[in-house]
Amino acid sequence: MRRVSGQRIGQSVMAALAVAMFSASALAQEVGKASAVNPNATANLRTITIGASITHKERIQTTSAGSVQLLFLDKTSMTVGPNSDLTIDEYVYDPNAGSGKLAATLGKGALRFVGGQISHTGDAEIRTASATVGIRGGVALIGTHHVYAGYGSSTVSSGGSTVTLGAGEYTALQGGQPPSPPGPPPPNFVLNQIQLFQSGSGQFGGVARGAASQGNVQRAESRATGTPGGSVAGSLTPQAPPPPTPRINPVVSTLNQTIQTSTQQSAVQPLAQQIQQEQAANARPSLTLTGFVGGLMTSVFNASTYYAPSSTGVAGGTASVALDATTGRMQANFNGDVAHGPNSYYLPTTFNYQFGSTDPNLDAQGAYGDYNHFGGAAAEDKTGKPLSTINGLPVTNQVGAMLTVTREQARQLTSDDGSAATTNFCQCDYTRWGLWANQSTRSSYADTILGFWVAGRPTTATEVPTSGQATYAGHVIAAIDNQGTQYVSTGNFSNTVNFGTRSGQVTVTGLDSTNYTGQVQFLPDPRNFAGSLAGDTGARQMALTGSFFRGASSPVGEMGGAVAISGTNYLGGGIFAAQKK
Amino acid sequence: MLVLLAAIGLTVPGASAQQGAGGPVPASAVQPDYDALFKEMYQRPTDLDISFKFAHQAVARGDYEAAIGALERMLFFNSDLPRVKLELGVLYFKLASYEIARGYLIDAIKGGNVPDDIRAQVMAYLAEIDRRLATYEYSVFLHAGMRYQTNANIGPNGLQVRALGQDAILDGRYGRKPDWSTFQTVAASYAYKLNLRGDAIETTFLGLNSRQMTLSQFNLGLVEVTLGHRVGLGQNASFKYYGIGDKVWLGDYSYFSALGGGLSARTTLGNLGLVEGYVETRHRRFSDSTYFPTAGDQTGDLLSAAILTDFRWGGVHLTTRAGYDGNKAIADYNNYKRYSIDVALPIEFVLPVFGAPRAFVFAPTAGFSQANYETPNFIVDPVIIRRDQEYRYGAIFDAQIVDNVGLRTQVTYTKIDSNLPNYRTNNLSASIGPTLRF
Repeated sequence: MRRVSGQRIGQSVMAALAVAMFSASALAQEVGKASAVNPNATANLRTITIGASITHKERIQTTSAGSVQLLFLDKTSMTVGPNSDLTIDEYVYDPNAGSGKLAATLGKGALRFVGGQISHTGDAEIRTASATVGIRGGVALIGTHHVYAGYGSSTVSSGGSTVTLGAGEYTALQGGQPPSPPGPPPPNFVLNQIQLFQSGSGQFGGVARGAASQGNVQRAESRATGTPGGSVAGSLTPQAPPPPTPRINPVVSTLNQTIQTSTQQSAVQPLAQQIQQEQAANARPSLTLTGFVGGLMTSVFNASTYYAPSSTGVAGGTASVALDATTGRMQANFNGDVAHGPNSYYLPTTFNYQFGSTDPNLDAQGAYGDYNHFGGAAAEDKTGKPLSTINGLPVTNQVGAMLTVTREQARQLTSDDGSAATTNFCQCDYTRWGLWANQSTRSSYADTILGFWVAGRPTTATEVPTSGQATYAGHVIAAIDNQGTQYVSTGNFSNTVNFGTRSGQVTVTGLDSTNYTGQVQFLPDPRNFAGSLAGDTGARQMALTGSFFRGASSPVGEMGGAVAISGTNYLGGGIFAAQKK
Repeated sequence: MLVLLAAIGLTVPGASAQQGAGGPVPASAVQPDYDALFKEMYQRPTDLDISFKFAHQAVARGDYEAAIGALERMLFFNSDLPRVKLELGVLYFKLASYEIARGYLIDAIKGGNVPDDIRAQVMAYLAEIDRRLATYEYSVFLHAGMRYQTNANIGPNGLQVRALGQDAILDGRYGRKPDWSTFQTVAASYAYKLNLRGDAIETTFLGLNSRQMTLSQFNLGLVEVTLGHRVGLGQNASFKYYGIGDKVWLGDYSYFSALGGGLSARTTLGNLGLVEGYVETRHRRFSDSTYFPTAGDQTGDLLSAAILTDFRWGGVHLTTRAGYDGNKAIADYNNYKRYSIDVALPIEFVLPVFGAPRAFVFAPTAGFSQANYETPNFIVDPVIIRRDQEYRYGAIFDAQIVDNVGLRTQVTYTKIDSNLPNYRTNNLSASIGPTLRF
């Protein structure tokens, strides 16, 4: 095959495009067209004009004022600048697959490459005198001494080295030397290139003067867009950049679940605790509780049929409650003294009451249902005589009982002063409390007791802390004699214990409309404490004796004791029970 | 609390009234016309009508290079066409070929007969190019407002719950309660560009403050800071490795702190949109507080992974997130695996308001999560392992008021089904407040 070199058509202003081709080139397969030409060629060789076919192996040369835009079948466009020499070495395009290969050689001058389908799916390759440029998916400005990647990426190989240009990067080429490191283009480089590839003054790219006037262009664009003044490029006002795509934050997206977990865990915790307490209570342990009793005893002298004088005093003492789950029996022993106040003439001094019996040889006289429900009646010996004594002597007739009391029952026991409704009764884990009522006779005396008992699981002296502070909260319940009228009242109990100073600051509020405050001191056995409290009504005083009891989570988790109240024409006896907060 | 995600606008990636509307139409919708137009233009390159029609179609399908070829030919025919140069600048701008865009724009206003409107548009683009070619880039999103929730304390639907494997009645104070709240959110990002290839040092900040009107134990504060190195992979892809720090307050007490790291990668899929994936891990240290005395049980490691997409298909804009979270806590019963999917369909439109065009975005959202815990929580039920399904439905309406100031209205309904009644809940939330982004 013989190649005919392109021939420059003089040195005129003509931007002649001399096409050197084989003689049979006219018959060669067309790969593109000259879509714009400055100026029309008038040479004797085949000089391309606008719309002329470009074929495989075609060589295009321009003069100093010449330029041409080539449009290829794959929509690639190349603008060949002035004083340039470009040969289409290879062009293969499969429109069905949308792929192909494009290779060209820029012998001299400048080329603007705007990629079409081929460079989107594979490399287009432009060789210059000193370098090989591979273009992928983009726009490139190529000269014999430079390559600029406007869009996509370009690889530039020269002098045995290759650099890859990202969008906006430039490399300089110096006669076979390795390309310079990628970097920004020199100042005004891009602007100069743009102007290089435009028509010069008096040039019209191959159309008649005025054919592409501003008016004609505007009208054509309006028709194309269907909008007067429409723009094919879309909005000509820059949109504010879209914010960086915010994503669902992993912490935030799981936060709802995290907080729900914490919330429900907090909510179910007290429920679980309550159930555990109930389960523990229902376990019917066999054990002996120890504690206190407190109440009011009224003794009546019945020697005369016409006259029955009486005395009332505060009864207080200790309690021992044995629970036997095996036999279902219980036995409570309440031993104590009766305080002799101003009106004490007929009162006894000591008492020893027994309710129920764990002795298998005696009548049970009581029952152990579960840890929340047990109680007993007056215990009797084998002959049916009461086992209880007053002043050390057996009583003759006895009717009485001790039993556990629930909050609801306590509220029914109390007077209508409203105190029970606002009392926070101890929800003790192990400590139990209840009612104690008894009537018995001895000689000509009839002794009546109304009081309460409290008993807990004993702790040991060594388990009582020697430092730190804890607050116990619960209730006081007491039988009251107020100027001869007897009733039951309740109040809230609080004891802030300082284990270091072996003392406690006690407040009782709302007991028969009276608030009491005072201090208790640990006794030599540090499980026990005692003290007195002053009331804010009249001259009421409260003497308090108590013990630490074992709780579910602490050996000193609970406490209970007896209270004795005195005042002007005012007496009271009862118990308190509290749990560590 | 249930609407935190939505409240800070994170369920609708990219939804913004300030964002441009519309996008390329699918190639399949225009391909026959497009190829026919190209053939016509190829045969008659001097025909202005055909060239512009082809360019119009090319832009519509996102083939900006083909449109550029057609418009650059116009400058062969007449180099004194400022508007065509402006349009070329716009097209190169869309390709992110900012230097060439700037060259055309400067060239467009070089002559003395440039119309004022074109000069103004050119100047606006030049300013935007300067901003994008700056060595740093930042964005800030601010949102504040009022919110009402029907169940602000995430209370269960009923008071009958499980405790220690038994039916139990919950204290009424833990039952569901409505509440109003005020909130403020800040989402900011800053990138220092290391080169033109997408390498950058990036930092992000997320801040949230929510104050309940009555349920102060659910006052929420959240701060998250990330700092990382983005590495460009070609023109359209990159990955980033980064460190993460979190601090969360609940009920005005410290709730948890977290430190961690992540690896993310993203790429554009031609004209279809963007895909991003990430894996993050955090060590969260929870603090017990008066309101949440057992919070510390959740201390542990949270591993998160997700794939996010932001696609535009013709007039349809779709964003999705498919995620996985794996939590390993010191208390086994707080270990879980969680699978989530969220979708949003932002519908963007422009309407004239008081004579000026204003951008609006209406974005319906939906999401689902399945959380499977590892072991039973003996306090709740020693036998039943918690399984939650969370359904989220809602909508966000963004209205541009002026420039970058807008108004966001949001409604979200969240429902959680669980095999344990303690966690069955639902909440309807509505919020409204101004937005500001710059």
